[in-house]
Order: sequence, then C-alpha cells, then structure tokens
Amino acid sequence: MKKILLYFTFAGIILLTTSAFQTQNDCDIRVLKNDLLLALKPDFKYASSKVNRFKYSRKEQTVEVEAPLLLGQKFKFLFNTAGLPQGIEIKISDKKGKTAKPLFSLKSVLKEGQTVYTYEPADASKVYITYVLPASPKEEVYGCLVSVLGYKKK
Amino acid sequence: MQKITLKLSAFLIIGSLLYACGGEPEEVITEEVITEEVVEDTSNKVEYILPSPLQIAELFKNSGLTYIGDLTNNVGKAENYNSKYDQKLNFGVYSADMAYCIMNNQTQESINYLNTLRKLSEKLWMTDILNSMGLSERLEKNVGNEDSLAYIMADLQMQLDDYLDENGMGYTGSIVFAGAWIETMYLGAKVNQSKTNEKLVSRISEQAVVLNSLIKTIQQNDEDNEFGALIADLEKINSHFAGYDEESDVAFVLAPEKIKALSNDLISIRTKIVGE
Repeated sequence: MKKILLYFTFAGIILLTTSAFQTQNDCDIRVLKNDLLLALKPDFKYASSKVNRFKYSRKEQTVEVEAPLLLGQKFKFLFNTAGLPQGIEIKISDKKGKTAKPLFSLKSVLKEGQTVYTYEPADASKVYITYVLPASPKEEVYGCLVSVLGYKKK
Repeated sequence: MQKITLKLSAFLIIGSLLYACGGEPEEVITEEVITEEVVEDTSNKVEYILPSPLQIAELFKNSGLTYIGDLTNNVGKAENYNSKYDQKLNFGVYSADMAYCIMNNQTQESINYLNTLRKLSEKLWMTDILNSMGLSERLEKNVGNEDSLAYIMADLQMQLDDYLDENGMGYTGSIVFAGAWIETMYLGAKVNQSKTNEKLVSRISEQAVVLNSLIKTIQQNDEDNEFGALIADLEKINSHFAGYDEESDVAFVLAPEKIKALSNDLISIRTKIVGE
C-alpha cells in the first residue's frame, strides 16, 4: 500500500511540473530555429540568433533591438513567429526617433498560416528592430520569438 | 506516515487534475517563481544583436588580412587561465584565432585551436558543444575548401549560441565575443602594421558600430560589477572612434595617426587578456 501511494505521489509531482512547464514555455526553440536555418540556405551563412521569451500582459509592450551591420556584407533577418500564441508586430527602421525611415513591417507582409518571415536590408550600418506585443485580454499567456541573422559576401 | 503520504498524494493528484483541467493559477504557487526566471521584462528594454567572430574575420580576410603565423595566441597558455572571466575572454580569443586559421587554410593550426577550445570549454562546463559535432573530422575532410570550413565554423557558433541560450548564459556570450572581437581587431592591426592596407583600414574603422553595441551589451550584463575593467578597456578603444556618426552616409575611415594609436591600444589590451 505504502509503495502504491509513493508511486502516486511521484506521478503527481511529474504531472504537475510537466504541465506547469508546458504552459509557461511551450516553445521548441531548436525546431523553430531549424525552420529559419532552412530559409537561410543556400546563400547565407549563420551569423547569430536570438530568442525572446514573452509574457503577454493587459498592456501593450515593446522591445527594441539594435543590430549593427557591416558594410562589406549582405544580411538577411529571419523571424519565426510560430511560438507566439497571440500576435506580434515587428518593425524595422534605419534610425531611432521621429526621423526614422520604416524599412519593414510584419503587418504588411503577414499571411495566414505563414510563420517564417525574412527581411534583407540594403546598405546600412545599423538597423533598429521593434517588437510590439499587443495588449492581451488574458493574463498568463506566454510565447517566444526566434530570430536568426544571416550574412553573405557582397 | 501512511496518513501523511496519503494526504500528500491526494493533494498532488487533485492539484494536478485541477491544473490540467484549467484550474485557477493560484493553486500552483511555485509556478510564479519559474515564470519570473524565464520570461523577459519587456519594459523599455534595448537588446543588441552582435555579429559572429567568423563574420568579422571573413570581412577582414576579403579586405586583405593576410596570414602571419606567429600572431595568434599560443595554445599552451590555455592552462594559465584559471578564473572563469579569463577563460571566457580567452575562449573568444582562441575562437577568433581558429577563424583566422580556417580563413587561411591552416587546417592543422585550426585543429590545434579546436582542441584548445575543448580544454577551455571543459573548464567552463560547455564540453558537449564541441564533442557532439565531430569537428576535427569535418575540418580534416574539408582541408583546402575554405567555404566548407567557414560553414563548419558557423555551425560551431550556432551550437555555442544554442548552448548559452538553453543554459541561461547569454551574458557569457558577450564576454566571449569581446575576447574574439579584440583578437580579430588585434590581428587586423598587426597585419596592417606589417603592410598598410587601405581596405583593411576601412573595415577596422567601421567596427565602431559593433564596439558601441558590444559595450552596451556588457554594461547591461554587469549586474555584479565584474566587468568594469573590460568596459574601461573597450571605452578606451572606443575613444579612437570619436567622430563616428552611425547615421551619416559618409564612410568613416580613421586617419593614419588614429589607426596607429588604436593599434597600440589594441595590442596592449590584447596582451592584458592573453598574458605575456
């Protein structure tokens, strides 16, 4: 009897921790990244990657990312939105502030069922990326955005 | 004891079932703690995407970075790096040296650096990155094929990024990158000293944009004030790029006297990192 109860206890602990983990971190980063690496080939080589883990809240949230670029190379930004249960807007511009020229907006290229998006900047020494997470009607909603930067010789 | 176990089992099973069926989150208090660790605070945060050491090495190579054999750091010195800080910085230094050798088809040298990186990664508990890829074999099989070797190096970078992310060690990446960046700039400066190359000078000059982001990344990760000396050294290098305007369309190229002063500082800071 004691043994059976102990088994139930362990089973309960495993079930509890597994379900909690899945709810908070339902992202298989490797799988999401592999989708991007496929879109990188054959021309571009891997330069770097970033994983942003988000918790949606009742307020809109923004994250700014600065990416210095090098003049002798061509670049490709890749984003995988499959790990986000709710929407996101990705904006890329050439500068910060009011004089910034918009270069890319996810909203304008969004397609039903598509989760991998790419952007290839023209000559620039730096681009500014802004992630905008919309306000969520529900709390406790988690997700992740995986991005990869590729490069090739000009 | 049996009663306590029974109660505990019942509590856990009921708790699990309620949770699985969409029970209220208050029932699982420990979750909140995990959440705080995993999810980013997105308020007013600026993040930086840095290039890879290989990418900079390739850029320098395409601009005339020739191979000079005795410039890179001696593999025997790896034994001397005892603090985690020195190990991370010199992991970056050796990565840059390996990239330099790969770019110049120095396969045996590349394998020597790979073995040194392995030793350092063991000290940093990152063994599985280098062991799982069959890197030595891949390097040997691709001798002379510069392009394939560059892809192998890019794979290594990717594995390192994955490992650091999965283990919550993102800050380590910026220190490793600092070591690699200083070493690549040192190699560029030394090669340029041996024979002035305008194209290479342009590439070295444009690194101002990378250095700016690198300093900010390290500052962000310096919650325990461990990297003050490194930040001060990088700021010293940055002072040579005064006048650089990242919003300007005019190419920024350092004047010969500025390049000379920058090179001297790079050499002294690099010596501080690798040791005499």
